[in-house]
Parts: sequence; structure tokens; C-alpha cells
Amino acid sequence: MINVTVKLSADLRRYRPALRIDESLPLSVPEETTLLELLSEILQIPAHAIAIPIVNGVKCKLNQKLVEGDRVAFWPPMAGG
Amino acid sequence: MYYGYTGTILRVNLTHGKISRESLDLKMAEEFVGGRGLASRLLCAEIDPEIEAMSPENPLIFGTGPLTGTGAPATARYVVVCKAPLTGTIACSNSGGFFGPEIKFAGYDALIIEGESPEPVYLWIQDDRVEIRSASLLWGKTPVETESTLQKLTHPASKIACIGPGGEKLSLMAGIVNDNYRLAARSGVGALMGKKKLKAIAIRGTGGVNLADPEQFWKASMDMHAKITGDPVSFGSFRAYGTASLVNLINEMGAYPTRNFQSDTFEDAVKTGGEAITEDILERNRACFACPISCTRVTEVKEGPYKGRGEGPEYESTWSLGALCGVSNLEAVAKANYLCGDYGIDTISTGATIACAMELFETGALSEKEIGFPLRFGDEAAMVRAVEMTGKREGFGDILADGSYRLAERYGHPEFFMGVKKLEMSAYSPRVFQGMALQYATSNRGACHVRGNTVAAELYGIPRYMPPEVLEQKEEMVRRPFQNSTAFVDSTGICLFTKFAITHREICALLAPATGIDFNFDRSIVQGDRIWNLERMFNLRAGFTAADDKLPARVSEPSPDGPRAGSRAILQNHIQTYYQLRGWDEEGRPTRSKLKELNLEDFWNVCSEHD
Amino acid sequence: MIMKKLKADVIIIGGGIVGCTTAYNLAQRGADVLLIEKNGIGSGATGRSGGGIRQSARVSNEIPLAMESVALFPGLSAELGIDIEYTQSGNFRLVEMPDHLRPMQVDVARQQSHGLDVRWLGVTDVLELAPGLRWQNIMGASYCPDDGHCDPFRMVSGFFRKAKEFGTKVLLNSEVQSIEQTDDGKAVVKTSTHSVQAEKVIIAAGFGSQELCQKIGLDLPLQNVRYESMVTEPLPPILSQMFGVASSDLFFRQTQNGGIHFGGGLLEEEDEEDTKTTRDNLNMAVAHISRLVKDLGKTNLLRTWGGLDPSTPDGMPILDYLNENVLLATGFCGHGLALGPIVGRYLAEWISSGQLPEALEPFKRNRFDGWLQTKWTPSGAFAAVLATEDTQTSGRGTVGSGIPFMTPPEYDDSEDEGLQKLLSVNPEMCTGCRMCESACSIEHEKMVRQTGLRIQVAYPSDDFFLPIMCIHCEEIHCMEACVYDALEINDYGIVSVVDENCTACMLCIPACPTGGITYVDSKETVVKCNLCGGNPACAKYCPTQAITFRPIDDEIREKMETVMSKHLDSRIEK
Repeated sequence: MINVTVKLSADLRRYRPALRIDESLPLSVPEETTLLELLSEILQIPAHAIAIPIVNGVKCKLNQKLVEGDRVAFWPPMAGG
Repeated sequence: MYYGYTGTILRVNLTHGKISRESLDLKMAEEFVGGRGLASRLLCAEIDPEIEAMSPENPLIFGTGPLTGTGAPATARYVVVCKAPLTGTIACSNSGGFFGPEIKFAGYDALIIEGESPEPVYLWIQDDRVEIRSASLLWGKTPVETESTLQKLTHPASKIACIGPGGEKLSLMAGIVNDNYRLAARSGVGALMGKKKLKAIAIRGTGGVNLADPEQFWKASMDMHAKITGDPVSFGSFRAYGTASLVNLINEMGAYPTRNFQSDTFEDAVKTGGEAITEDILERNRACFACPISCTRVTEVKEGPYKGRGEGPEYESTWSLGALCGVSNLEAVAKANYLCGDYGIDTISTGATIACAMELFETGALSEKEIGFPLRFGDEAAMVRAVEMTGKREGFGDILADGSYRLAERYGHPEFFMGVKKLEMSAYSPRVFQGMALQYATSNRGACHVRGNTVAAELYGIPRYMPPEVLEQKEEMVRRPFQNSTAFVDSTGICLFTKFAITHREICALLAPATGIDFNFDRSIVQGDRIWNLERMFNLRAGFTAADDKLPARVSEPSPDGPRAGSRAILQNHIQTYYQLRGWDEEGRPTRSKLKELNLEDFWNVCSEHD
Repeated sequence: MIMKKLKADVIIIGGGIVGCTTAYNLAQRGADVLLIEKNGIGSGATGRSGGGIRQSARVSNEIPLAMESVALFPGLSAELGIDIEYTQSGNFRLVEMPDHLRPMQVDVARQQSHGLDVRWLGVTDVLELAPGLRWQNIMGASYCPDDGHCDPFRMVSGFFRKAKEFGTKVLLNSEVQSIEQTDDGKAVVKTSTHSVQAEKVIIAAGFGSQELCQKIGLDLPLQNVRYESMVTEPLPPILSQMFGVASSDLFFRQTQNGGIHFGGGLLEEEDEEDTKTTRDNLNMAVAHISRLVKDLGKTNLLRTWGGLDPSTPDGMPILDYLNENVLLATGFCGHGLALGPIVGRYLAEWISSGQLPEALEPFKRNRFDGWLQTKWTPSGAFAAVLATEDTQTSGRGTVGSGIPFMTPPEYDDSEDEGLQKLLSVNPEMCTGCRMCESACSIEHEKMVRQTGLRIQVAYPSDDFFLPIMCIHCEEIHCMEACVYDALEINDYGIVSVVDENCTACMLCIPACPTGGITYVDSKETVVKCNLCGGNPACAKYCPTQAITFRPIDDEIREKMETVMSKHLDSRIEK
């Protein structure tokens, strides 16, 4: 198992209403778990709700495998001015 | 009979008190579309860009697009164009609300305000009746007070654009406020209105906008309605969280400029993020004319030292009054935002100027005696106080009111000015977003993010994903789908925020049945390019050169911390590639063949000798 | 036979853990409670319980409730005045097969993501905490340190005694034969000897619940699953935690007096109230536990017993009203013991306050709308089917929760056939965008203008807006005021303007309380809404469903009239 942290932002927080705004979820997940698996099996958030997955500050693809210490953050589709 | 357009341009001369009308040149309209393009073209016919911005010759042109006021989704937009008091470049400030459509309902495509009034006045336009009236009762009032008073003096349904005390005091931070809280901001356009002693324009229109093919137009509107309301960005996150939901995202990426761009992460970003705003101060959202997105936030700080109510803060405002100044107190940021609205001053430039002053103070170049109080990064009370001073041009605020370029020069640290062509950069670090680095360097009104917001591609993947650090092919991306496309959209009267859900095709599908003119995708690309080049020529004539297409040295230094530590702004150094793609020579001047391609005259002989 | 007549505030049918905790909580609040039990207290699923008190190994929506409940356990023995033999020594879910390794690890992460302290342990760590296990057959386990177990019989009798202490009356060995409603909205529950009238009835009858629901004409997705338990003679202490396995429903623990209490569920369809155990199940359980626990070879089995517990399709109980009087609280799928204390508390709160406690939202029965038509297998214990979409449900909520105007209310128009539709306005959803004005204008005038509109938006304040128009009232004030026959009404009650007859006298305008008639200069007549012939443009174009086209009742119409007439003066154009 490897340890990662996960942050949910904006309206994704409705999937974990108990989480405070900046709180990260510490999770231990099997090695080689992909972001998609993290989303669908562990967090049970539909993949289409995510537009911007960020690992350690870098936007990445959902098939990326997690490694020890990864800081994951998910954002729904969003934009700004 | 005109369709989409009204066919009439109103000219008001404040020096002589004369009102006149001109016909819209439809050929010009076809070439420059309307809004930003048309108003800029009209400006080029009015002045030599070498004039002083604050001279009576510099007109204020309020321009609408052919779609403004037609009732298609998000068709509320109008622009204010002039030579910019803050920067000396061409200025084009864009705003929504309900004022723009009213100009069309009154029967005008554009208002050209020239000259200067000897006394404070306001314009009262009711369809074809135009009066210049004394504004002595209104001078000194905030935009909210001005609007409510004017609606009693004119008509309860009249729409108002005005300046706050900031514009009256000729602050280069000043914008023009409409519908109480919306700002046509940046570039100091409010200062020009204040110089003309024009306090406000009140306008009421009982007419409508004629449509060439109402059935087809309505069909295309419903189609666009479906696309926008089905889009997770336009209709999802903008409505639910507004633009400020970007705070945590951009910060997570290590691209959130902090403390006058000294770093790119703010440890307390979450305190002023969109989620915090929604949870703590949001009252509700509301919409501009005919807009389904309704991204405006009505907010209130109910009690405490920062009590206040207004709209926003939006992403940029949250940043400039927050992280850029090292401030993490949401209520203080909201209050500073409300104050900027009360004085009618631009939040980005104001916040950036205060941040620059903070750095000057912390390095000892500015003393407490000069400011009147210590002004350190992170001190929210001092920041709020500084905003108020700036709005009033009181004490040290008199200096702040002229922006950070002049401030940094004056105190011997020009390197603390974080902008381009005297306009301050905004909330996306060019060290991380290479597209934004080029955009800030080359944008026609100075370091503006809106005119080519490449973050859409570099982060969200619209139109396609290009990672922020990648350089390859990015110049073309900046040029065409961003700078040129935005120039087109800004000229139509539709809001840029729809662009996440739709493309030029949907916009042209509205323009054609609205105007009866063959607007189509291919022409729209050319129109955008033409408008950009026109603005460039204005700036060249105003004295800007390739040497001005540069970023401040600080962003070429590595980012000190965060996940992107070590990143530097690079793409702006590839400017020759950009010039080439633009069809410009190595000095950044359009070549003859480029002009020919765009059917542009060489106004003022500024173009390249090269073909 | 003369029926004895009784009255109560609340009748609880079922003397298991849920019935007794609820009786206790209600009686403590001063309610007059009557508990009716078919056999004896705890004779149903409660008595077949493994005794596990766990937060772990639950579907996501149950985790918060379970965490709340488990927090109550350390103080329970003191509160009940009886030692329920609660030990908070942790809960293991053992993995024996390679195929279950990753799914269990994933499931541990899933539970962690809900804030639960649950961990994956390799076999060495498992053995360190539970040396009584046979490591050869174990690959690892999920471990939740704050879980535990207790004695279910002691627990339920503790609650029962407390309920009686606070005045609960009891009818034991009494089977409910009918549940009816009186004319004045009360419920009447009849057994063979008693007829009891009450405000509210709670069905907490475990395996008997389905039948009771059918007595009031309702079919719910409840399926009884057989659970069998056995206990050995006392042994020296070898296991302190609660144990389950990934591969089946097997559970085991060591009781305070040393016996190993073990057993599990049979995922077979069973309808009889069979309290025997089957030979097959017995052998299976014995064989299984022998593979996992050391030194059981020569142990004697003292006792076996079995029974039924209803399961639901999603592994969670149904806690919801069936009608104005009857509340259902069952379907705990073999793991209700731990939830008993918190469910009793929340049900009592619900009944006293009339408000659904937020914590009980996930357990409403409308989540099963449509399920009865599909074939489903009972989601009983936490078997090898881990973390699949079928058995787990993700969090519910609305975008921007806490901002009611953000989410348009769902409108189901499937029942509208044949009913007359009118425009219904919900001001809360209005963002002041005036798309309705544009739509109306284009539809009727072929262009957008703001004057002479049939619908107008009013702005009473900077955060409240609403569209104002003709509400097609029954009083038809406008026609009454018109003396020129310029307003006519069709068969559907919709009034429209007869242009030729209109002299623009405008008597109709002030007659309308909601500003539904306006004057158009260019036409020189008045105009009003005519529902665009049945497909109103404003409702089509409104992006937030502030305006919808649907059947409305008098209450809605009155509300619209009140609000619109109040804000006539705030219209953009008058």
C-alpha cells in the first residue's frame, strides 16, 4: 500500500460533505492504483465530474499511476476570468 | 433599414454642447464587426494616437456589438474605447449588465463623446432626445448613489454608466461603472470621463433591435441556449462558484502570484477562495441582460470592521487585493473590493499598485512617514486603508492613484513594477503559463489576461490541452484561437464566458440572421486578425515599439517555491516567431502584404517597409 | 372476544434492538409508548447477531451514521445500568484469497476517504495483534481499531428495561394483525386481543416487516436472509477483536465468558421463520473457522440457533414514513446491532420534531423507486462483492449545497397528461436575466424591445427579482373591466386581446392585480399573455426554471398573485 493525499474542490466537495475546504484526505491505496481507479472505486465519483486532475501541482491524465507521497487534487470543469 | 445594427452613431461634443448623429458605415461594420473592432476603427478616424490621452481631443467611444440587446444568450456587452490615460496605448474596456442593450434600444450603435465640459454634466438620452444636464447634484456621489438619484431625475427604468469619486479625481485607476457594480475597467478610462467632467450617461430606449430573419435568429438562440446550459463550465462552475473558484486551483498548481510576484504560491489561498466566498459571504448570484450563465455574485459582509455589500469579489480582485498583497482575510478583501466599486476604480491595478507600495515599504524605499502608516504585505487593515486613500486621492493615495509603474519609477525601483506598457499583470503567473507570458508581453492594452486567456488551453484544455510549460506551437495558439478570436468575440456584443460552450460558428449563426450580413467562420478569423492589427498600429503610432513587448525581469527569475519551483517565463523571448506568425517584421510592425491581406489602410505610416 | 382498547402516542411493532432503543428514546422524551412484540424481546435478528459493533465494512452512506453510533457505545453500559460486555478492541476483515487482496485494499481506501480510521495490514501485523489466528491461510486484513463487539442479548435487554423504566408499556407474544387509519388521521393497530390507537406507528419488526407493510398495501424491496449462529464451550482467551472475512459472511469473536461465538448469513431466499440451523451451514462455518483460528480442533459446540433478517438491494436500512402515521425502520442487512442506539435516537427526534434529521436522509425509501421491477439480490453482509457500483452508493447532494437557488427543482411532468398547464413562477430561481422578456418579445414582435411587454421582470432589491405577468386568474378582472369586447376567453380559460375592438381606453390595465396587461404604443392596443398558443416561449427560454409551464393549483396561483402584485412598482418598465 502507498500513502497519498486527496483534495476535492468546488462542487466536488458534495461527495464528501464532512470535508473542510482545505482538508486533504489521507488514503492508503494499493500500489499502481491509477487516478481513474482512485476516482471510480475508492472515491466513487463519476469520472465525467472531473475535468482537472492535478498531481503534485501538475495536470495529468486519469490513467496515471499513483506513487508514494502523491498529492492529488481534483477539480470539476471550471474556468475564470 | 438596418438589422442587428441600429445604423446610427450619436456624437456629443461637451466643449460646445453640440449633439449630432451619423450613419453607420455598413462596410466598416462588416470589416470590424462592432463593439471593440468598430469602436477602435472609429477612434482611429478621430485622433492621431500621439495626442495626450487626457486632452479634450481624446474621445470616449461607447460601442455596442450587433448582437448587443438582441436577446440571444449572453448578449449584454458593450465597450469603452479611447487612448488610455494609464498606459498611452489604445484602451478598450468591456462591461456587461444592462447598459449596453439600452444603447441599442435607444437607437444607437455607438456614442462618441468628445471635448470637455467646463462644468460637471451628465448626458440624458431618451431615444432620439439628448440633453446635457448639470451634474452638480451628483458630483462626489458613489456609483450606487448616482444611479439611484439619476433614476429619479430621469426615468426609473433608465440605465446608468458613471464614474465614481475616483474618476472625478482623475485617478488612473478609474473605470466606468454601469448598473451599480459593473466596471468597464483597466487603462484608466474613468479618468478620461472625469477629465471631460462627464459624471454619467443615463439612457432609456423604448425601441428594439430589428432582426433580418427573426425565425432563424430565434432558432439559433435556442440552440445556443441549449449548448450553454448544457456546458459544465459556462453553466456549471461559473454559476455555482463564480470565477473565484480558480484561486485554489491556480494556487495548487503553483502559479498564483504572491507578494508582488515574489513567489507563485500563497499559503493562505484557501481563505479567500471561491469555496470560502460561497460559504461565508455569498448572498446569491444574478445575471446580465439575457444571460443564462448568471455568474455575478451578490455578496455581503454582515458585521465587523469590513462590513459592506456589493458584487464580487471575482478571481482577479480576490487575487490582487489578497495574495498579491499577502492578505488572507476574506472580509477585508471583500471590503476592499466594495470600496473599489464605491470609488469606481479598477481592482487589479489598485491591488497591484498597493502591492508594489508594500514592497517599496518593506525594502525601505518608502517610509511610513510618506505613506502615513506602515504598509506591509499581509496587513489587511493597511491594504483597505490604502484602497480608500487611492479612491479619494488623499495623502499618499494621490500617488497610488497613478498606478504602480509611476510609483515604482518615482521611488527608484522600476523593477518592482509588475506589468507591461504600464498596465499591471494579473492572476496567472507567466513563469508557469508560458502562453500567458507571451500574451502579457504582446497584448495591445498592456499586460492583460482577458484579451488572450491562454489558461483555457494551458489548463482546461479548451480548445485543446497544451501543458503550461510547453513552448512548441504556443505562439500560434496565443495568436489565433486566443488573441484574434477574442478580438472577434469582443466585437459582437456576446460575452466571452460563453466561449467554453460554443465557437465562432454558433456566434456567426446568430450574427447572420440578426444582421442579414454574411458573417461566417472564415470571415470571423480575418475580422479578428484585422482588429488586432489595427490596435497594434495605433500603439505603434503612439510610440510603442518591440522594446515594449517585454516582461518585468523578475518573472524571468526562477519561481522560488511550490510545485513549479524553478519555472521561468520564457516564451516572450521567442517573440520573433510570434511576429513572423503575425506577418510582422522583426520590429513587430505589420508588413505591407499583411495589411493588404486584411484590407487595412496604413494609418499613420507606421508599418514595415518590408513586404 | 372483547378487544381491549388502548391509546398511546407511539406504537412500536418489534422488540428487537431498533424497537427497544426507539422506545427508550421516545419514552425518555415523555412520549407514551406501547411496544408490541410477536415473540420475546430480541428473539429476531437481534438475537442472531454476531455482536459486532463496527463502523467499518459498510457502504459509504452508512459510515457517518455508524461512526456516530459507535461513539455512544463506551458509555452505554453505564447508561443502561447493565454490563453489555462491550469491548472496543478493533475489527478485522480477513483476506484469504489472492483475488480479494486488491479489492479489499481499494475498499479500505474507500472507507478512509470518508474519514474513517481503517487500515490495511499485512499478515505479520495482523498476527501481532491477533496471535490466535492461523497465519497460513491469511493474506492480510482490513483493520479498524475503534470497532469492537458486545453481547447482543444484554444490550437489547438493557434498552428494554430502560424503556420500561420510562413508562413504556409492552405487549409480548402478540402478533399484529392489522394497521388501519381512522377518519381523524390516527392509526389503529390490532392484535388478537388488543386494539390500540396512536398518532404514530413504527414498524421495526425485522423479518416480519414485509408482511406488515403489505397489510397497508405497500411492497418494499425487503428480502429475508437466513443467519445462523453458534457458540462453543468456554476457552482460554485467544481472540479479543471482532472478525469477519472477505470471502463470505463468516463472523467470529470470543465472548466474555470465553466461548467462541461465530456464524454467518446464507444468501439464499428463505421465507420461513425457521429458527433451526442447517447441517450444511453448520459444517461450512465450522470448517471455515477452523482454517482461521488455532486450536479449535477438539472444542465442543454448545448451542446453535438461526433466524431471518431482512436485506435491501443497497445494503442499507429503510428508515422512512410509509404514510402519515406509519414509519418503517428495518432492512439492516445483518448489521443493525451497532446502528441501534443512534437510529433509536434519530427516530425519536424525527417523531418529536416532525423534521427529518439530516443524518437519516440517505435511508429514505424513494431511493428504491423503480427497483421493485428489477431482479435484485439481497446485499447482505460484506461479502466478496466489494466496492462495486451495485452495492455502494456515492454521496448525494446538490451543487453549491446551501445555495437553494442554484439547483432548479426537478419537475416530473409524467403526470401532466390531460391537465391544463399554466405558467408557474418561482421567484427564488430568478436571476434577473430577462431572457423571458426577450423570448416573449421575439415570439410576438419578431424583435427584442423592452416596452409593451407581456412579461416584465421586477427588481425589488439587488438580490430579489421576479418576472411578472398575467397569471390567467379565475376572476378575470381584465374582462370585467373591458367595455368594448376587446378581450375574449377561449375554452381553456385563456384570455386574449381582440385587436380590432380595442380602443386603448386602458381600463383593463389597473384592473389587473399582477400587471398582466400592458399597452403597446406602436400597436395602439393593449397586449397580454396568451401562452403562445400552448408552447410559451418564456418558459422555454428561462435557464433556471424560474418560469415553468405546468399544472398549478390554487395555492400556487394565490402565492403568485400576492408576490407579483406586491412588486408591480419594481418592474423595469411599467
